[in-house]
Amino acid sequence: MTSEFSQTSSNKIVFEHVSVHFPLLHGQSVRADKNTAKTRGGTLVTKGARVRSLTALNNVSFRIGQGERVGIMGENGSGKTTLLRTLCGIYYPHEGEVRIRGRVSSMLDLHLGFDNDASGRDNIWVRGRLLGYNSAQIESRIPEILEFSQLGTFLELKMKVYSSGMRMRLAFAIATSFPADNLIMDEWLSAGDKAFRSVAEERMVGLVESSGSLVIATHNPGILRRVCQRGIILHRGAIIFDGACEDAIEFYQREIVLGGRNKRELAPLVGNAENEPLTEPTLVEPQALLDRRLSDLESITAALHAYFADMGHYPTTEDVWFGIGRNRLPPEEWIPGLVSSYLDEVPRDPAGMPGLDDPQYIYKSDGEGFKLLALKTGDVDQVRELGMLSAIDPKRPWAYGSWTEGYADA
Amino acid sequence: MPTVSESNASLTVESNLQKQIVYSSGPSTFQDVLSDIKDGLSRTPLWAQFATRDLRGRFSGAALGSLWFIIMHLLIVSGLAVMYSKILGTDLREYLPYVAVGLTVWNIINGIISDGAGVFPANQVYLKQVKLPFSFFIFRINLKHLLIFFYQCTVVIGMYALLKMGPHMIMLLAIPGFMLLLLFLLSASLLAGIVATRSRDMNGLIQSALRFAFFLTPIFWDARRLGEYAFLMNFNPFYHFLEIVRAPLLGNYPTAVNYYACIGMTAITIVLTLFAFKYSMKKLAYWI
Repeated sequence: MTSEFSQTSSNKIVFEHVSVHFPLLHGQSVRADKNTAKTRGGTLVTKGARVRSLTALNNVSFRIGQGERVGIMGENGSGKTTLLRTLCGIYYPHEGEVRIRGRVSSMLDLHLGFDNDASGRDNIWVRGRLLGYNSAQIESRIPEILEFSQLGTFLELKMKVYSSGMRMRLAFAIATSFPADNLIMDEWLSAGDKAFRSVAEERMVGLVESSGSLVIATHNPGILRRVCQRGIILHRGAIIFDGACEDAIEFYQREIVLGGRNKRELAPLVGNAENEPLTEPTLVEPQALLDRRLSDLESITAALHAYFADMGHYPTTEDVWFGIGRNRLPPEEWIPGLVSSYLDEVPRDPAGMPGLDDPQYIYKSDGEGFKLLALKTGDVDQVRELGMLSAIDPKRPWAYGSWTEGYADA
Repeated sequence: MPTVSESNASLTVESNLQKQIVYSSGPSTFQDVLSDIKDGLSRTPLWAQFATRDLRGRFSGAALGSLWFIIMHLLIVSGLAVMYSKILGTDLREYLPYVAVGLTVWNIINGIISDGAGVFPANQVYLKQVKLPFSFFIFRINLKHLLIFFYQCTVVIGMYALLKMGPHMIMLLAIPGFMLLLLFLLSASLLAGIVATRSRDMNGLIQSALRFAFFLTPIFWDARRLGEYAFLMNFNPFYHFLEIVRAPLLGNYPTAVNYYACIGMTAITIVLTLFAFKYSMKKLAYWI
């Protein structure tokens, strides 16, 4: 085993037939449902009448070489986060083996450990130590962190006076100022303004260019294109595509985003008569993580255009509404009355889009194109950027008044 | 093709270039347990920082800040001492140090075990986002309660000064006793953490048991008052740990039975903890 490995010493990360199963403990176990409908998520494993565990990764194998930058794509619940955590050594595989050469910098949450009551400088120490660096290493990096974060004297102030942008800058500066062998990132680059994003991406690529490797989970084709060379697509815990970045994006758009029906055939199912596959997406990723993740408007809009171009026309009926959602906020927490009444009119599956039950964006088609009508967001800048005419605070539903034509070119 | 059994530990192999980390299925070994603890110890600056942050956060914004640890303890000790010296008809001068020492020692026992039982679910943000040794969180809560203990000790020292109970050579015996207690608490909190993470009901059980033990342990009452039933105290594990610290501070020698019981219980707890940790190491993240 070791000899085989040393022959291919340029491999930084090796996954060898890795499977991960989550036991359903603490009353999470539910009665098995015979309805193996078209749902997402890992495969539920039943024993008798009850669901006993959830297969989040199913026989996953890949090798990542030195200097390689790989994007992991997949729907919510497809196992991206589990894969990253297995890579970091947080989850041990139940079958198979993970081998990693060099240090792993897990940057699944850049803000983890930040203390609002401490200064930015103190927080550099906390983050640095959390990432496993010693005092000398941290001390030597402070000038660089200071320079990139552009915090100036703010570095000496308590972190509670920081804006979220400053926090992000500091977090990112810390994360990318230490030399990294293997950088593991969950989708977080979609935060921050455009200028910051491009600098951040550049810096990240530079960080791993020479000797390391980068694994990033993302939904965003843009990030994938700019940062990665290779894409791996996960579906229901198994790899269904592994190849060049552009091909992966194309495959993802075609088979996952748009080809609602086809993907069932793609999914490598495990399970037999007594081990029937069922799916339930929310069990795979902790709710907190899903809630924090911002949906990505760009990729969805691009996918929609591609889909309608593929169809040859845009829907002709004036009143076709459709929504696309990734956010798991309960429906009552957003635009009350307004969107839920639209939803009643929405055909169950108008465009083969996933996630209709809980839309993040509401579009209106007018026969020639489609327009973004409403979106659910916590980001005021996004609302402004998109030129939305009105916004509604769900905490004060009476304040929404008359809904004017909230059109914006998507 | 590597088989699972070939390398079942998260061992590191020194290669020609860089260290190789292997995460694989299969049971973990005692070597994994030791390296987790070693790794935890190497992270001392961070858990020390977290522990002090825990203390600071408790009374953050308060003008008196951490002084509240002392004030709170002073109020409880003096209130309890005055009231129970009347109820039990004992001399306050004798009773006050007894209660002060007893409560201070009990607080660290209670605090560490009760925090230990919830330590992994409480730290799931960390456990699910970054690879940290499990022992890291155990060290953190132990240090936190040790620091609270030091705060509360100032109340005891103050009372000794007030009552003009001078330092005595016997008191030094409390130090090895306290060391033994700390060792016991370190492993007991890890054991409680593992058990209560697997079965959340155990957390409730441990919390109730601790509350129950508070009344069953001679903290604010004297074991001698049990008369012919005083021997029953020998079956109370907390009694022995209390005695090996408290008795010297009150100018008495702990009994040999006290020491044997404490050493025995610490050894048993450590062995149990090692086995439980070895068994659960690769499963803990899934249990949270």
